[in-house]
Amino acid sequence: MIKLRNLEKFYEGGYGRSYVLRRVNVEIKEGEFVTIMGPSGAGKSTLLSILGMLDSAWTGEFEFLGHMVHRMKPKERAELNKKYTGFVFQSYHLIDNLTVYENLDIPLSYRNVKSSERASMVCDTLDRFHIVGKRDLYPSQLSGGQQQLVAVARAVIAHPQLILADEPTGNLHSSQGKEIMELFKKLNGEGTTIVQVTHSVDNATYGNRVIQLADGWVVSGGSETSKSAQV
Amino acid sequence: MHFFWQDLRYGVRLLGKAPVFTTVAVLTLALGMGAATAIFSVVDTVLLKPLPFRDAERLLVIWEKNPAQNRYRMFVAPANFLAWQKQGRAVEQMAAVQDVRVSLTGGPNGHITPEELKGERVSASLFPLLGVEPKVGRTFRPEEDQPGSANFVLLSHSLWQRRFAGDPGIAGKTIRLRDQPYTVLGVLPPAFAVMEAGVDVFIPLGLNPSDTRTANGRYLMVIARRRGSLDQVRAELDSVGAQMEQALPALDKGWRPSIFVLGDELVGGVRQALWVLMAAVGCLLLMACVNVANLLLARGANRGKEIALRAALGAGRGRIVTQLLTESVLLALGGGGLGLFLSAGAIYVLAHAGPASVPRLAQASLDLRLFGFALVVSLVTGIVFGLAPAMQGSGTSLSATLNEGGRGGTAGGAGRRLRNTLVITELALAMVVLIGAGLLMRGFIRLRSVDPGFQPARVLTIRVPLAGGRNAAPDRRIAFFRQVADRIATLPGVRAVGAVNALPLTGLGVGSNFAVEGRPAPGAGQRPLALLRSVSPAYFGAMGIPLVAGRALADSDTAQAAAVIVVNQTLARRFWPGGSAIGGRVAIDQNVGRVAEVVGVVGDVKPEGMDGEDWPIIYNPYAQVPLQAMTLTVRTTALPLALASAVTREVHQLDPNQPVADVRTMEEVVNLAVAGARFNTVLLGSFAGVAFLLAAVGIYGVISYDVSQRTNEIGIRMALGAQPADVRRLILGQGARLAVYGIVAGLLGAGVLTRWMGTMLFGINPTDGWTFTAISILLAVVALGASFVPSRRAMALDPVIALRHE
Ligand SMILES: Nc1ncnc2c1ncn2[C@@H]1O[C@H](COP(=O)(O)OP(=O)(O)OP(=O)(O)O)[C@@H](O)[C@H]1O
Ligand SMILES: [Mg+2]
Repeated sequence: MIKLRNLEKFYEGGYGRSYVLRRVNVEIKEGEFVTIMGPSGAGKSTLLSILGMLDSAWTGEFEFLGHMVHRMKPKERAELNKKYTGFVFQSYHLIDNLTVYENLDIPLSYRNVKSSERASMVCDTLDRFHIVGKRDLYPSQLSGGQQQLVAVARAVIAHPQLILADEPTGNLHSSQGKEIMELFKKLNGEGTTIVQVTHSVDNATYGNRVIQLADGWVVSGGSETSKSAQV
Repeated sequence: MHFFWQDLRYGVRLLGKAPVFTTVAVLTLALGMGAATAIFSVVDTVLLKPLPFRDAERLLVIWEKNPAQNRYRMFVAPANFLAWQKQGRAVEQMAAVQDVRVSLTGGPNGHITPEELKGERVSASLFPLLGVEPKVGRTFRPEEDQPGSANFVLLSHSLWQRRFAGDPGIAGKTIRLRDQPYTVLGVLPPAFAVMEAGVDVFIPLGLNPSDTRTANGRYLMVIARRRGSLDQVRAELDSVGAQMEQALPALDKGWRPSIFVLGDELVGGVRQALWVLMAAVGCLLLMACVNVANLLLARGANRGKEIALRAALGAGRGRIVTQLLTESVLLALGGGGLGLFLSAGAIYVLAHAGPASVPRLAQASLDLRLFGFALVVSLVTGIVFGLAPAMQGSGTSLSATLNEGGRGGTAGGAGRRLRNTLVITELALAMVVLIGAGLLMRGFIRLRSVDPGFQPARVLTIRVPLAGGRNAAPDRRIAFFRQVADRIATLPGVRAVGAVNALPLTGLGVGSNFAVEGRPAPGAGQRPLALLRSVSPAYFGAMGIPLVAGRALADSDTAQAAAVIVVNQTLARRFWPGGSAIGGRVAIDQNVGRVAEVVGVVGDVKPEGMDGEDWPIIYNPYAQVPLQAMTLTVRTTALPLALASAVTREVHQLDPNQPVADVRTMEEVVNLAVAGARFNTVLLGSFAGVAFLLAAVGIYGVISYDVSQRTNEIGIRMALGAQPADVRRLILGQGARLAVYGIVAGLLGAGVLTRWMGTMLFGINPTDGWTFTAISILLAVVALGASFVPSRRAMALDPVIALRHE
């Protein structure tokens, strides 16, 4: 599904280029559940936003479901993202002046979903995440954990083929965290590809593979077969 | 004190660091305060300040009315004035005034450059009636206001300065008017004027009750001081009027006195316009305040968190408030200082370039109390909205402030609602001002497109009053004007030279009753009235007035030839409906029984104003009715004013002492006739321009602030699949929503308010759908345009950076 070849990202700084990702070669097959781990600042979030087509300032090659992303225009990349991906942000990123219901509706509003269907999809999702009672509350009226839950719900609502999750259980009670992980597991079982970033070794056990990042380098787990990404 | 300077320095530094915010806020306030102070000051001077007369509210103007003919402000016949004066008990004093033109032909030391002056013949009682004391000398004594008394004159202050160098010993000296010696009795106070501004000399009326020649005309204005109530005066004079109707049916059948309060009468025509302008600048001032409030709120919201944090860290509430106050006050004072300059400039321009129809406009000056009012309004705005962040950062809401937007959040809801409400208000106000201006503009265009009945382009006019000169004698006038016309006609660039006693669009002028021969005589009071003009044969050609039937006047229509006249279409249609007027015979009272034959019919010209009615007009050949003062009308091939000095020279070649006056083009005459409407249109139009700018700035500010506040949200939406077009729709939608609310509110407001403009609009309904629609579209476009720039910014956001944005 995803092939990264010699992908690099850098920022121009006062002392020249500072690299955030270096010669990254990663391959992820459809149906995988991959965990990205590494110390803070290693480039995990950066890599995830590249996978989610949010970041387009990089060099190298990125193949996604046969599309050559590095040759695509920003608009086409955004289309790809919209079609296949759901994103859980490191800091939930709910929209404050929209209710839970409306927050869940956003991804659907940008996809060609009929409004009657949209309503039932939102209701199903509320149900599935046991947050029906919160549907008309605003994010500021929710606890951190509840907000996290809504953020995850929002990522999966449009039935994406790929879920990118940046610390999806960061603020959750361990039992709630487990619930989310179980959900991912279940979605994965139904065929959804999942890439998560986490510091938790427990969470990593839900995945089938760990990609280790350090200082922008892929230290291990770049592909299913090779255990070392260093070429 | 120490803190004060520190706050002040810090405030100046902060404002300097946000130059766009500061500039926009200061300019906005300056425009609002400047316009408001200027118009408030004008309104105060023209409408609200009492007239400079003793107990001015007791002063009345009395006209004559003839309701059957739908005329309510006609001049007064001397016989009626004398009857009212004699029998009026509820009236303390009464004085009559007659407009005249007199030529100044000699100074105290003999020769003087001759000049035609505006004058008023007045009753001696006028000055005590008004309670006006002369600046120099004395006013008239009753015995000096008798027919056959010696000649006396009072000078206006400005004439005294201009022509007599302010000579303090002028009283008792003799000057020559119309080549007669007049003794100067005194000089009136500066800017003294009763019915009309700019009058230079006052001479006694010397009304002769037994003079039948003047007794039948209506040519007086009457000023009175009431003793009783207005109703008493009305009732009493009405009964005197009824008696007069019995006593003098030929003169008074159907006529009654028509009484108004002097103050109302003087400002009557402009009162409504001034209130409308005042409402418009009120809107502008409000808009400016709203704009600044919005700017401050936006800024405050940015700093809300900083301030909440500071408070959490222990900064005293008082210090924070003082700091914010200092900034607001600095802004208001900056705007006020600039606004003071703007309003002083605006008042200067208004006082010097405003139309003569606005009484006392020239005396308008900056009123510091009114400026103070505008300043207070903006200070209050600044303080209230400048303190918003401190309110937000106070007490209970502290944790809410820190929370709001604290977790990757988006803008706070309450502040946003307030900002939106403000900008909607602003748009609504702009709508009202723009619609008002749009209506005036459309009315003005209509007015300008009225066909005055002649072709004003490339016509030079010059008034030549013979009175008092060596060519004034009746037997010399005809020859003089023929010679002048012949000489001017030979000048290069001159195509035709005509002469008329009163130009179109300059007033009704002379009128007379007349009768068509062979028709049954109508009852007294129903005798038809026509305006009388004396014209040279070339007049119609020079003015471009078309001949509709018969022939024009000819050089052969001399005093010795048969009496002939040309009439206008209105007269022909009214008295020969369906037939031809040619060959009809008309007896004109003014011409004392002389019966003239109608030889031609010409097109109608507007006698009084572009929006005025068409009157029946009779044109006499000058050779048969030679008047003293004529206006030459010179049609030229090129720029008419370029010939002004050559034309004047030709007059002076014949008589170097002949004064000339009113040298101007016919286009100027037309412009003057629409000066009031133009004044309103230009003023309200420029206010509309300001309103337009303020509205654009306001909506731009709010939307672009919104975008900066929603950066994070936009990032999220992009990450969740929003395309750039979706983002644009989001932002433009926000602008559009504000615009729709603002426009709807504005339409409702304008629908109510423009009713007050009724009489200011020519040929346009105050709820003119076209204007309302056009302005709505215009403002919608502005709102979208102003949202477009920030929407571009939002579209260009990098989602990764936007997501990081807090
Ligand atoms: N705009 C930027 N300019 C320069 N450097 C940046 C910029 N944005 C991110 N970085 C750097 O990129 C590196 C990777 O950041 P990233 O957010 O991917 O780290 P991370 O592995 O997700 O860390 P964490 O576990 O703390 O979330 C960091 O060193 C960060 O300082
Ligand atoms: Mg991260």
